[in-house]
Amino acid sequence: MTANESTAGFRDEPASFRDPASSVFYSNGRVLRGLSERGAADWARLADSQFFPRLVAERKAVTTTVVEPGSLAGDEPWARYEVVLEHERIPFVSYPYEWTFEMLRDAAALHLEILLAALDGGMTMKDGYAFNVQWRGSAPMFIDIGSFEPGGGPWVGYRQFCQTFLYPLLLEAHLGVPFQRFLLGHLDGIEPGDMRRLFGGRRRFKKGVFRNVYLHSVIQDRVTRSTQSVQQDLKKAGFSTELTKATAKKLLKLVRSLRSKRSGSNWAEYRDTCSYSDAEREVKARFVLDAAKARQPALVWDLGCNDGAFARLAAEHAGYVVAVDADDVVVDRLYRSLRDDGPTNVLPLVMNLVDSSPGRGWRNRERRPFTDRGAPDLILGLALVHHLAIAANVPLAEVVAWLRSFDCAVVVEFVAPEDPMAERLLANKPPGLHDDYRPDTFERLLEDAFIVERREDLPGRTRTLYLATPRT
Amino acid sequence: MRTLAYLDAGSGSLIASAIVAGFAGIAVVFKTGFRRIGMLFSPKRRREAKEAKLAAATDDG
Repeated sequence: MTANESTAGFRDEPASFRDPASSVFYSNGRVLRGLSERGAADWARLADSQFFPRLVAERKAVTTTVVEPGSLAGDEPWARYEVVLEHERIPFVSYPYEWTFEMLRDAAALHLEILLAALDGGMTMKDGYAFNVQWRGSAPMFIDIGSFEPGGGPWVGYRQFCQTFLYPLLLEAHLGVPFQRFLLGHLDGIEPGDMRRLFGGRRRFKKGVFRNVYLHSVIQDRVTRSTQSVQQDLKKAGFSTELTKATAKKLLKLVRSLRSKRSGSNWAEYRDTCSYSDAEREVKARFVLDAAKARQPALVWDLGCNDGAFARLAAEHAGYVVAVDADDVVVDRLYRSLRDDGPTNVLPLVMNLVDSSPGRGWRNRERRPFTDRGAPDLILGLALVHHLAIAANVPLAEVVAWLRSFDCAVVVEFVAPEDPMAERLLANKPPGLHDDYRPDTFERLLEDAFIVERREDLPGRTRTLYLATPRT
Repeated sequence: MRTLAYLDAGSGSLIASAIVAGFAGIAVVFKTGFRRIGMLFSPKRRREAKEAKLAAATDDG
């Protein structure tokens, strides 16, 4: 039992404390939301609306039902809240700094579509935060039901929308700079003033920059009145819901027009240039398929997924596959192909495994480390070990200990130093630095920590596949 | 780092969002009157705004 867990097993979501009207908690694997009196009034309005049930039916907003008192393990929540709601579970929580450009763009468009639907229904949204979108495979879903409130006037979420959606997109679309590190470094997103400095000179005339960045920052520096008084003044001067809709529509048009400037990547053409033969690929595919079929894992992590070919295979026999790679361009391509052709149970994420997502935010608990967000039943580590061991200098013993720490079955590939791809990596390193990088060393380390259930040499004789289960 | 913590920077963003709406939004911003919403582009006004923000930011309270 953790510090924020009650005796009846209710556990507060550490990221859900900012809005007193609405907080998320958990009980026996169920995702629940407690609403204050004001939150309950907003919910009643939302549940009664025409747009919200439609968004849920279209899978654009999280499925939400009212929990009747007495149907949980304890009555504690009803002492704290006016109304308790239950949400569907998101299969694997991810954060915008792990998404690709197209993912952030699609999430931004979804947020604006939902805002427009709410405005049509006489409601508005009180934020514009990228973290309020989650994924079911390659489909984005809005999860913060507490965002909706009655009212009109200018959109107070505009600033947050700029900082966590629009600015990161502009950065990559106009300057070709990957945005992920900016969002990871600052959960509030990129400040207008910082963006203005990045888009100095003629850059300020790039699409969407002049108004949303330059004027935004200039005005922000000059206005000394409080938000509330400015809001009232704008309303008095005739700022209508129609104008907010116009803002949202302009933003939607802008967001939809943006394309990533980053196209070439080290790995984007990996499949074309890599040293695999078709025969090797076939053996590898069968190996992965057999392992997944025999185990029927609920959750698979494909670490170093590249184009996602093996994640797709595993997905045929898995509940959900999280496919991770450090190369955002490759993952972006995978996302687009999943979005257009499926399967629907693969979540692509951008992350460098030697610098994986840490705990972030208040007390480092608001955004959880990658490894705390789920327990995989099967890990795929194909063409991964040589990158960790040679390119990133992680000792082989550390790599194996890391794999063992997930306490699940692994399909792992060892690429011998004679393999052309390993040779290429070794060529960048001083001689003698990786003398212990040998198949026998790896096999011994693996057998110490795991039981090797199956071992297969690929036809080229420089690569070996292992299926291993943890030794207890 | 948030030297302007006492002033909610959201007020400027609201005006910017109105401008994003296009001509009608810009008209509304003009209608509110720049003096009223505290945004004037004269050098004197700019200096005053800067000083006010600095005073708020350095106030220990």
